[in-house]
Amino acid sequence: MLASNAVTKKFLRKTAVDSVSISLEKGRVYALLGPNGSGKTTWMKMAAGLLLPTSGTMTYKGKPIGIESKKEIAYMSTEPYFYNWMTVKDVGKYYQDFFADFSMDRFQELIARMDLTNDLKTKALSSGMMAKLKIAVTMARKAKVYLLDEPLNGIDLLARDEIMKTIRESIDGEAIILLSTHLVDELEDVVDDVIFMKNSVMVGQWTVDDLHNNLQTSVADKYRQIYGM
Amino acid sequence: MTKLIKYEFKKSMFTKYVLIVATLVAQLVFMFGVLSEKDTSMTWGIVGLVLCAIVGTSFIGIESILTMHQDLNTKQSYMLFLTPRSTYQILGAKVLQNGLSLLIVGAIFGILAIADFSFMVIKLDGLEELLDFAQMMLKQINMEITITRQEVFLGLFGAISSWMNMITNGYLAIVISATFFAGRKFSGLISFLIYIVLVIAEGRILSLLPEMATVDATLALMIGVNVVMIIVIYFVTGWIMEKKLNV
Repeated sequence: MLASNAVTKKFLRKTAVDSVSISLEKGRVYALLGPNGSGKTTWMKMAAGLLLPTSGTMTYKGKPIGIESKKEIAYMSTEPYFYNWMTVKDVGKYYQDFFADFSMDRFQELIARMDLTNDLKTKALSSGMMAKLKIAVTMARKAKVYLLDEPLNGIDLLARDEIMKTIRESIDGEAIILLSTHLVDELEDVVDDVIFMKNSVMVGQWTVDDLHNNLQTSVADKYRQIYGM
Repeated sequence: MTKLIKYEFKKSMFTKYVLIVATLVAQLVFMFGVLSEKDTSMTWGIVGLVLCAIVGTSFIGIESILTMHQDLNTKQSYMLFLTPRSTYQILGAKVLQNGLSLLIVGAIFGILAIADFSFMVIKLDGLEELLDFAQMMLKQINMEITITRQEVFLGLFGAISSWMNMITNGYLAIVISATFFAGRKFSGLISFLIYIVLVIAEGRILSLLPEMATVDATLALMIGVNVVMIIVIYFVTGWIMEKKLNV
């Protein structure tokens, strides 16, 4: 459904993603793992249509990433990206204006649960509150694909629980969920597949069942094995 | 595209609020001067209003280019480029917002100037003199209406097309800088130099236009060339964004 075929992305002399081929199928939850600079964010941004591949192809439902794929792919960046003049309510309205799959009711439910209020200015939000707002507005879309880049980055345990709860609620057997995180332990019981990236290349993809049953290892141990910890 | 235009207006609302407040202050100073018949206040009010009109309309264009720069070079770019809209729509919304802002602000200052002038004449010289003045103006317009209406229209359209041409040049320079020179040192300076080159090149093209028989025909030709250049620059910019832009 969402696939990259030998995709490479170069920035001047630096190769951020090197001939990566990944195929994501509907109804599955994927973890994209790897240390900083391994190419996870660049791959996600290409899938979201923010970056253009230098070579190779990135497709959604067999067609190149573009306007049609953006209607069905919800991307959450790790960095804050809302306009400074916006309030929490404005962010919801903006998504409602541009995404047909956005539910304002669901957004209001999520921000209430995450102790955010409509009148808060985005430029005044703490990193934890910003992380909550980003996940709320992204998951308030009934998207076919969710790309969540470091959704648990820099936030406290309670906020992390809320975010994981929200992500779990969106697992419906239809949507693809791809999340990248360094907090590998938290993923074990959520994801179906893990994809490891290292130094801009994909080093392997396994199902969690495969790791548990055939390789007799956990996601965390496989991570340690690959990255030499 | 209307939603994109709506948010382009919202991005520049702060500047417009500042302009409104500054204009109101100048207007109050002017009215105080007229009502109290104090020349100094009246003069300061007029100077303030003229400055607001000139600086305000100029800054609308500059701000539009600065916003474009921010929309391509900061994380806020995601807000635009994650939406299911083509680069041509995104760019078109910016161009149209700018043109509409200019028209609206220009119209407001035009109406304000007429209203203030009328108020001043009524207060200082009485209603009778205003009516005499209006009648005299109407007579003059009637005398020249067949000539001036066309000239006024061409002059106005010429100013707008030249303005839009400068703005689209700015967009192209920023897009070239954000694509072909992305991540390189001095990309801001490069962007400015590209803009200067584009403006000089277009000036050369306009100077090559043949002398027409009448001023109107010369103006019309200049407007036509301006419009063609705006369209060409718009499509070139949109194409570069579509094929080369990474945000």
